[in-house]
Amino acid sequence: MADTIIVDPPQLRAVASSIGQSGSEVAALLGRLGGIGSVNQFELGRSLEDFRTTWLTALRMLAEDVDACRTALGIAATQWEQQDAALLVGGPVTPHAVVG
Amino acid sequence: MGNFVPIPIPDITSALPYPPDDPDVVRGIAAALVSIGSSLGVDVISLQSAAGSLDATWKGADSTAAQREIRTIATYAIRCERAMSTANSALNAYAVALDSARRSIDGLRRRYAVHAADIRRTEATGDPVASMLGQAPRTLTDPANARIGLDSSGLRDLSHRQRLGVLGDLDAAAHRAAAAIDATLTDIGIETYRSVAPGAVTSVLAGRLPLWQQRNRIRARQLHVTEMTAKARIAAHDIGSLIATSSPKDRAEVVARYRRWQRDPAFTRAFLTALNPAGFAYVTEQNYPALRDYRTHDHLDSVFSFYGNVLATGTGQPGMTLWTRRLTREMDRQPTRRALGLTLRSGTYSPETLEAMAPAMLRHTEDEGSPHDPWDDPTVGTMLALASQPAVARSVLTRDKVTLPQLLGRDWATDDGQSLGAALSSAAQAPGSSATLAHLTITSVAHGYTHARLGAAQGIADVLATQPRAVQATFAAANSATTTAVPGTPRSTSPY
Repeated sequence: MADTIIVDPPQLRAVASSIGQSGSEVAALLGRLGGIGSVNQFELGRSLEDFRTTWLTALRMLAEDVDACRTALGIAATQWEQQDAALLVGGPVTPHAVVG
Repeated sequence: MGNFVPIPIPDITSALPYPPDDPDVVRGIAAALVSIGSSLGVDVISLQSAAGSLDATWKGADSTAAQREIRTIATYAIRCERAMSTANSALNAYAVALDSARRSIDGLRRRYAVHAADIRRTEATGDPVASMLGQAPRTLTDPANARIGLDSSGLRDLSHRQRLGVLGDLDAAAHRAAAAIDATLTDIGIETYRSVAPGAVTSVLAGRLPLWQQRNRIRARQLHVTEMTAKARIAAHDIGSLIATSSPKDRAEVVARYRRWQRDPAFTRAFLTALNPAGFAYVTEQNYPALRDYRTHDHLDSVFSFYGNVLATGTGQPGMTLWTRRLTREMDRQPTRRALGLTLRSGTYSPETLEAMAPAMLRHTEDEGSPHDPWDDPTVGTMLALASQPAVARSVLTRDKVTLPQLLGRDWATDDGQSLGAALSSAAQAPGSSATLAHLTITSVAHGYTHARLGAAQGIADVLATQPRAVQATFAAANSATTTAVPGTPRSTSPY
């Protein structure tokens, strides 16, 4: 299915930038989660450690994923910019944003 | 009697210490988690909004994929936020239990202080011997001590027991908090009873986030390449070392161990690289039988078909151009050409590989194809390989004015010219103009240069059918030349 342009590439870049901002914020949370203290009570201490390890990994993956999406949207915007000529003659444009 | 020292009464804090956790510290951890959760909440809103605005900005399959990815990220970020909130509540509940435990301990301490004072008073006014021994006074005149019946060691035991009761309640609260926190792992999809296995989160999330699925596939491919490289090295060693001394049957058995990977890009590339071009030529030559024996044909067919598939797949991989070029240098040797001729009968070769190999194989067509040894014609293998690539077949057959007439003029004792016919039919189908191909064929046929047998007839017909007018004109010119020829002059001469 060929992609079609609704809004121009700068609009897409704005979305990419907004997503990138979210990605940076998620990445910043890694340090905060990594820095939380621990409790001495054995059972709870181990649960909290598992919790921290698990969600640190999840957050790291989410941050990387967000970053990959941002990159993909940037690539799509660039592809559109490079195909201005095709747009002018009404040709189909197919920017592939390598997501999914 | 010597000087007895009374057993000391421990001070309050060492007799009745608080539980090891500080409620303020636990509340601090809980607050940090809820703060992380609320930051995530903001990010979730931002991601959802981005996915929504993407829908308005970009439509199509890729856009849908991008939106799905971003929404999936947001979903997991929501789960993460929820986990932070759950852990916050659990830890706050534990902090409340800690407060309560501390209050209980404070109560115990107050009672402890009263009892300790009583005991000390007894020690001062009661039975000095008993007090020196740290025992209960033999004369309990004090009504309080009489009611409790405590000495210093009894007070320690009582305090310890009462403290254990308080800690038991706290322990139950800690277990409840731990269970709530563990449950957040179930929310992300991890089933665990204790200590999350390394990589568990990664594998769970990698299976759910589309981009990570892609990365997993890449990782799996890398693992596959590593595994195949190891197998290929073993195969190269096995095949290389057994070849000199083993029978065709033994060779076929060794090759059979690796047959399942004969079309695997990673295996074939690594196998060819491990052998290097000269080694590959040597190994295939060693399989070429010195004597024909029909009983071994099946084994040899099986061995050469393995080499053919390996060569075709492996040389088609990126970075194998130099390897292929080096193999073509080996083709000036007839033993190599013979072996490669049999090898080329199997496998589908890439256009680039054939462009490099076919001309090298065809450099010496005139001295091959002995009628005494019909198996011994490497040109047949080359033609069969060319037949699978129409554009390359046409390119190779028309690369000069000599190759095709030479092929049409040579004897095809092995297959009656069928392989040449297949290559010609293929070349006739290639896109683009077939004028040169038709011209070279017409000239050879019209002037009677060809000795090709019936097997090539269909191929020749296919080529001629692409240029009917040129055929007509060429035959007309040839007939005219024949009718005006001086009697006794040869009807035709070879172009080479």
